[in-house]
Parts: sequence; structure tokens; C-alpha cells
Amino acid sequence: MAVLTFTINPDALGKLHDALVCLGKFSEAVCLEASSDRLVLTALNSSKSAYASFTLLGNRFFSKYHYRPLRSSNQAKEKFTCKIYNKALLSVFKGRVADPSREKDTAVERCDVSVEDGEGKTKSRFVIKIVCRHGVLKTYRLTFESVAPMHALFVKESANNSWSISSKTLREFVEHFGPGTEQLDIYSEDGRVSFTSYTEKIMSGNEILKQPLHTTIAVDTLEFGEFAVEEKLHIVISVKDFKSIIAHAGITNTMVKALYSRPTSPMQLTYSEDGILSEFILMTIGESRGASATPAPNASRANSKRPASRQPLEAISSPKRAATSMPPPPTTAAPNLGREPTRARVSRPSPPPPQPSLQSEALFVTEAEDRRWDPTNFDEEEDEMLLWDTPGDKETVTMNSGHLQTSENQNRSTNGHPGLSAEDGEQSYTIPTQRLAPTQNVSEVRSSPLFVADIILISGRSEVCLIEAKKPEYSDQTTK
Amino acid sequence: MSTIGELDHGAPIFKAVSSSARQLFQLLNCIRFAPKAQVQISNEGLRFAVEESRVMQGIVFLDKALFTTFNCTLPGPEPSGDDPDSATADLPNFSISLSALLETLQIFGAADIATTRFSKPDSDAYGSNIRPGRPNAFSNQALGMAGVCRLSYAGIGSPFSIILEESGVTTTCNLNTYEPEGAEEIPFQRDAMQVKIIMQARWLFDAVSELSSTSPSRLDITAHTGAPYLSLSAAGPLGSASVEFAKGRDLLETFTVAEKWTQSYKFEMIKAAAEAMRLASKVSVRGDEQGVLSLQFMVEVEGGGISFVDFRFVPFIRDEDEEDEGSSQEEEEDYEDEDA
Repeated sequence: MAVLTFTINPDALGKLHDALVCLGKFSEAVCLEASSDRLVLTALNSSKSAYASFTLLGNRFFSKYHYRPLRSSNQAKEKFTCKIYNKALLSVFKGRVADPSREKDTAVERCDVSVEDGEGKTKSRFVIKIVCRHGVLKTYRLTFESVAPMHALFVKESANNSWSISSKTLREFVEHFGPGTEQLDIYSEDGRVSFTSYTEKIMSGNEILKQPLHTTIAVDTLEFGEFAVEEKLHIVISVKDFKSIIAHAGITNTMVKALYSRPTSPMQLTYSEDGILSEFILMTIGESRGASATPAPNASRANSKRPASRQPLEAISSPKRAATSMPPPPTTAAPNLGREPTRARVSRPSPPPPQPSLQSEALFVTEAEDRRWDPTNFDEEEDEMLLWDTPGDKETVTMNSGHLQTSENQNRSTNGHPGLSAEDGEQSYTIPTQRLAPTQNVSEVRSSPLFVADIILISGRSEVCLIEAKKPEYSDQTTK
Repeated sequence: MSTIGELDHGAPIFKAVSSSARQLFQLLNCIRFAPKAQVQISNEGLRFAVEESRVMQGIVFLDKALFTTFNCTLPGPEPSGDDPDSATADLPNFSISLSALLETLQIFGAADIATTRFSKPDSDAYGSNIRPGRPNAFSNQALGMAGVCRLSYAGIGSPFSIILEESGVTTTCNLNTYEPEGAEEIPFQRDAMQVKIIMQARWLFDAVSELSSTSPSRLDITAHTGAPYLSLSAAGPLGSASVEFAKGRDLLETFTVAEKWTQSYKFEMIKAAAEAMRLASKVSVRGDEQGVLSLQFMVEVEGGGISFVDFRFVPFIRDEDEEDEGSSQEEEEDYEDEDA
């Protein structure tokens, strides 16, 4: 006996297909929940960070809808629930979205669906009968799994921020978000709302670095139908999920309404059109960008402290959603990931002082960036500089690169200034301009150690003076 | 090379010129499911036969009407008007690489963009609904830039050469010919025909692509004397699907069936004929006593009149008694049961 029977006309069939396509972007399975007046299709993604649901109203969406509760042993079940592999449903409804006037021969006239679920002799099948022109009847019997769907809850009362905007407008925005971006930040200040799509993921292992890409779209609040959002609140959701939603919402011109409270609490997006109520609940990511918009150097430092206070928030508010669509686990690694691109971006107008902490930069800063800020990168720099040196010089320099004091000892003990120039005469002429004044700062010497080497060669004594004068520890070592 | 030179004094066995490689490509593309094709040249045209595992066979006959000139000087005294069946043995027969031939023919872009349509049905909604054979307003033919395609074959051991000319560019291609494999045709008993249906090929295509959604391994074809007339069904891991052509009158141009006829075939093989279903205007579905299925497609190629593409399929062995009481075969179980 059929538990549920409904009939869909070709028009609604296309809409059903669109909805299924949208659900397919969240999960590979669709949960159906039928009650006396509505059919709800839901999908929850694998990380449980996004939930999509379409409510098809029995009397408006379907041309016929009849739900007969199954009278099992004790009482009638109020709802019938099942789970179907979306690919199977999609392939049933595929291709029929095309303009029926063009595909005359195989145009769909009607689609009858009946769900048979019985104990014993009847097989449990989701039967779809598509009646096409010329009496071609296509019958599908899909298997389904009888499980109760998982619904995401959204507490409207606590959501104090809301806005609504035309889906067409949103669709235009979404087109600009690069395919490589992962997060979408929504932020409003002074009557302007900025949608920023960006990516935090720069590395994978220690291999290819993903280019951080930021696209910001600033919109006047007047574009919104309604706008009541706390100023300067960053709310971050997944771009992919947002895009999936807007791809569906943008098919028709409707008002998309967003409701949310604060980061790490869910955001709800809803819209409706003829008999379909669409609802999406997305997990928002902790405010990983923080106050980064201000280019002050301390911002990044302030940021680095933030994770400590933020982390527990995420954990408490939604333990099951801790693993959002953000690829790295939101443990201590996540804030670092979040901070670094920000710093790189901010640093262009006014570079902050190099961070003393080295723990993150080895992994999260691009190589060029890394080198620029690295204060003590002896080896690399020397190797580079080596190219400019004459061959006669090489020997001493290589020694130098190993241990400064060794070469000093050597030079001092064996050569005086004139002797050296005779021996390495060519060298002394080639680099006279690089001679350093004896009064050079230690910091300068340290930052380019090769210069030290040159001086050793050219005027060993002055070098010793310099070191003795400015850097006692060197002289200690050398005199020992 | 020496063979060509040697034969040069006489005319080559076969020489033909076609105004467009496109038609040839379209037809041969229908049978591209196997890498090698057996070619037979006769006074009437070229016959390309392709087979797979001795259970599926595809034949394309390129009628001489497709060519602007067609010269075939068969060796030996065999008169051309003879009974073709007895002459078969003496006709020039060789095998060539079909994929290489197709590659050559489409070197100037004769390929239809929508050739992959079957695998990705909704990728191109616009293209999918136009009959692929239809000339495009911007095709070279329409723009008057039609190229010339020359085919020639000098004799046993010499290559099959194709010369394509299009807007001043000439491509010469010599395809090695191989010994014919001498594959026997799948026997189809014309005198013991059980079912004969002529219908629009497009509907068959639609039905097959519909069924492919369940990724089945078997396709069951059933012809009834009564109500559902013709039904195709398949079962896969996700469920089962069936397409019924209930209103026989409108859908089926010819429908002759003695009694209920049902056979199953390997779905992948039927699907290999999808290109022909897509291209053809009509199809004649015939089944004989032993269950051999013959699909004859009538293809109207632009400017070339009518050509035929033939397929033959050997059925799966079925236990006649079992089919109605829910054959306990694993994957078929679902459908059969419900059908009963």
C-alpha cells in the first residue's frame, strides 16, 4: 500500500530538480520527510556544518498530494521518513528541466510518485512514474533507506542580526568570488556592507602554497530590503555553501533573508517561492580575521592573543560543529593560519616589525615573505653573495661562513694588511667600495656577514679592532 | 611502397571521392566501439564491420551514393551484377584501425561537438536537442568551403589512403591494412523472426539513456501483444527503471509480434549503439527465435540520402521458465518480482 502518493506537473518537476541539485551540493543523500501537508527534503553535509532543507507544500507545490500514515503495530506514524541516494533522484529528474517546447517527443506530461513501504509482502520502493507524450511511461523503482533525518536547529529568538536582499543581487556578488576562496566574511560599517571572500589555506603539507585571494564587494545598505546588523561584526561562513545556496536562490527572483547572532553560532538563510520554502543553516566560523582590517602593526600582535580567548568559545557553543568546513582543525593551528595572510596583506602599506616569534613563519609565510623578514638568515644570504665574489676570495669566505672566529684567527695570525693585499691583490681591488668603516654598527655587520669577511681579508687589523670595540663576545672567542 | 608502384600501371582497385568527410565520419562514428574494422569493397559501396567478443556486431555500409565518384575495378572476371552473396569471398577484404580512420576523417573538425552527449546528457542543453546531423549555419559546408575527401585502395597489402583537402590544406593519410579477421556474422534468422518494430530512433535513444541512470548491467526488452507493447527495463544498484511505449499506435510505426517476447542483453553493448540512435531517424528493431536482436538504423545524412547502420546483439541466456516467477538472480530480483 502506498504510504505517500503525489503528482507533480512538469513545471514543478523542474523546480524539484533544481532543489535536488542544490541539495546535492551539500550531501550525496537526500532525506525525505512526509507529513500530511508537506514533504520536506533535507541534506546535511558530512562535517555537519551546513544544512539545507526544502519544504514542499502539499497543496501548493503538488498537483495532488496524499499521505496515508502507515498503521503499524501500535499507532499511526505521524511522519514517513526515508533517505535516498541523491544521484538516483537526480538522474530520474535530469534533463527534463529543458524547455519542453523544444524537446517535443519526450516532453513530460505528468509525474506520479508513490512510496510503497510495507512490512511483509510489499517491497519498499520509491516509485516514480513519468508519463511522457505519446504514452511513453517511464517507471523508476528506487530503493531507499528508512531512517529519520537529522535536522539542524536554529533559534530565531537569539538571532539579533538580520538582513534581506534580492537573490538576483546576491547572485551577481557571488559571481565575483573566486573558485579558490573558502571563506566569506560579512561585515558592515558605516552603512556599507562588505562581502569578502578569501582563503586562509596557504599550504598543504609543505608543498604548493595556495595563493591567498581576497575579493571584497562593498554594498550600500540601501541595496538591502531590510538591514539590522550590529556594526563592525565579522561573520564568516563557507563560500562554497553560500554559492550553492545562491545558485539555487538566483534561479528565481526572491528575497533571501539572513538571520544570525554572532560568530560560531549558526546563520540561517531563508527564501520562498510558490510552494517551496527553502531554509539553510550554516555554521559560522570563529572570527578568525579579527581586527585585521586596521593596518596598525599592533593589530597582528593583538590578533595573536585572540585565539586563546576565542578557542573555547567555539568548543563550547557547538562541540559537534567544531570541525567546520575550514580544512585545518580549529585547534591552535587555525588562528595562526588565519593571521598570516592578514599580516601579509597589511604589511604592504606599512610593514610591521618582524615578529620575534618563529613558530609560525616557517610554515605559513611565503618564502619571499619569510626571507624579507628573517633577521638571522646567515647561510642563505652568504650563498647568494658568494656569486659576486672573485674566485680568490672564495676560500676564506667559505671558512668564514662556517665560523667567523676561525678565519679571523687565521687572518690575524698569518697576514698583516700589506701581505694580504699582495697575496690576494685582485680581490682587494675588486671590492674596495664594500669596505666598511670601523665604526659600523654591530647590527649592520650582523645583517650582512659577508662584509665582515671582506674586511678580514683586506684589513685584518681594523676588523679585529671593530670587533673588539663593539662586540666583546667575538673578541673573547678570538683571543682565546 | 613497391606494391603501390607495381600496381600503378593498372588502376587501383578502388577510388572514390566524397565532397565531405563529415558524412563518412558521422556514419563510421556510430560503430566506434571497437578499435578495428573489417572493410569490404564492392561495386555498391564500402562495408565496415566491427564486432566485439562475438556477441555484438556493428555494420556501416557506405553506399556509393555518398560519393561523388566511385570507381571500383574488382580483380578477376567476377561480373559486378552477380549475386552479392556468392561474390563476397572474392571482394577485396581487409581490416584497418577504425580509430585512426575516424581521427583522419575529423582532422578538419568534422567531429560533432555533441559526440559525447550520451555520457553527459545535460552538459549542453541546446546542442542535445538538435539532430546532430543537421547542418550548422557556420559549418564549412554551409559556408561553401566544402573540402574533398578521396579514398583509394590499390590492392592487397597496400595501405588504405585518404586524402583530405579543405580550403587549400591537404592531408594525406595512409592507413595500414591488415589481414581480415574473417569474423563470422552473428546469424540472424530472418525467417524465424519473432518481433519487428519500426520506431523513431530518438525514442529508443531516450529510453536507453533514461535507463542508463540506474547504471545497470542488463537490459531487458519485452514485446507484448497487448497493452504496454514494448518495454525496456533495467535494474541497477540504486533501483530499477523501465520505459514503456504504451500507446503503440502513435509511437510504433510497425509493430509485429507473435507472442510475448522477452530477452536480455548486456546494457553496455546496447549503449554502444547510442550514437547511432542519436543520429538515425528511424530504427527497426527485430528479434529472432534465438533472441538475436537486430537494430537497423536509418540515417539521413546531409546531402547523402539514406544510409543504414546495422547492429546485432546476442542475448544473455535466459531460463524460459524462470522469468515470470521472479528469477532468483541477484540483481534482477527486484524488478522481476514487482513485475510479476
